[in-house]
Amino acid sequence: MRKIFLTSAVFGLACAGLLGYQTVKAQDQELSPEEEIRLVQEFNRMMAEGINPGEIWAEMGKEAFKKYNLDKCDFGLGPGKVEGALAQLPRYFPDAKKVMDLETRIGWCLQQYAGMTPEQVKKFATQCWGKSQCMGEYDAIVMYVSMASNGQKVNVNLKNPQVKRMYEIGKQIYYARLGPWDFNCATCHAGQQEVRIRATKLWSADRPGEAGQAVSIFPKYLVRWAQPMTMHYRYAECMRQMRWPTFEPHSDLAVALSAFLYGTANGTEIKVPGIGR
Amino acid sequence: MATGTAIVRVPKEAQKGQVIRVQMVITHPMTPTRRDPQTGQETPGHFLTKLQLFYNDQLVSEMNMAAGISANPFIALPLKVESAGVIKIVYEDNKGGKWEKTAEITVK
Repeated sequence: MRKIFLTSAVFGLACAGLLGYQTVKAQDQELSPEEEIRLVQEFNRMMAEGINPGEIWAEMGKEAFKKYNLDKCDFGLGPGKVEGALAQLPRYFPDAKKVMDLETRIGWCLQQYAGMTPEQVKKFATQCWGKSQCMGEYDAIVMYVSMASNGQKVNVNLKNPQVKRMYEIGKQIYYARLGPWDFNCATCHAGQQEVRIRATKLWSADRPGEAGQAVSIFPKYLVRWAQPMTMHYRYAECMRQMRWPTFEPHSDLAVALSAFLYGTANGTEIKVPGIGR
Repeated sequence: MATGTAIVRVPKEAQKGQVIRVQMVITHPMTPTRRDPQTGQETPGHFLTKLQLFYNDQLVSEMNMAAGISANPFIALPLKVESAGVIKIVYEDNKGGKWEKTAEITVK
């Protein structure tokens, strides 16, 4: 049945249309949870085959990159060089005297070369948070820089003492139980046992390779919001769901978490943009 | 980059008589018309209504759309190619917007 649906002219009607079709089918036949999970994974696979709408942001980001003078920005490979930039971040930057990940670096460069104040940068970075169908320039810049590293392997230099220190801090945050609900990241994202939120399987830091697969596709396009989600937005959302204190984008907390996650993901091929429901 | 921009993707080269997949993504909010249950106020929808596919200025396929399709729809259509040429899509929405986007293909 799905095969016929695939080849017919209305194949691509829409991602949501497809989901709707499958949900209706699921309700009619009263499928088992395993069957529903299989349908959702099939949906994710079919979405990954075609053009990812996130690529539109990359085109937009190319213009915004020049508009905000970011071609002077050094991502660790020379001013304005973005190919392979994401693969070797986070790293230590002597000019800022700090370890920075991609988004923190973009925020720092916006302050240096685009003449923005820290408040303006924060407003700029969070302009699309909590919205849908938002064509933000910040998301576009992050998407453009990330997509230039496609096909390269994550290679964070953990031999650098500064990065190693951030990695250890990030590991502590990952396993720190905080907040009124006594949650940590490892509550959902650790252990050999499979954890699900509804029909979505969650990745685990303890199962080899899963952290890499989860991290290497960010920023990823979310069909339910019709806009991409950057890594810092993901942190903010996770922390809101855990009832942790409000997350500040471009903070050292984010850099520490990025150092831990990308350090764990070393060796995984980058495939940006990913796609999710 | 605003509403109505699109990416059209076809294989760079194709054999004569081959059936290729024309893939496209259109940026559009695709919101349905909605009446607020409390106030009764109606929010007008904004969605694509029609999409036409031209191959060398000849109409090949036409698709009628309405609200209920996801935002930023991804559409894929099969097309049998006989000669090199231009593939053009023309699409319009219910607020009078009309756009077009082309892609070129070479046939061996």
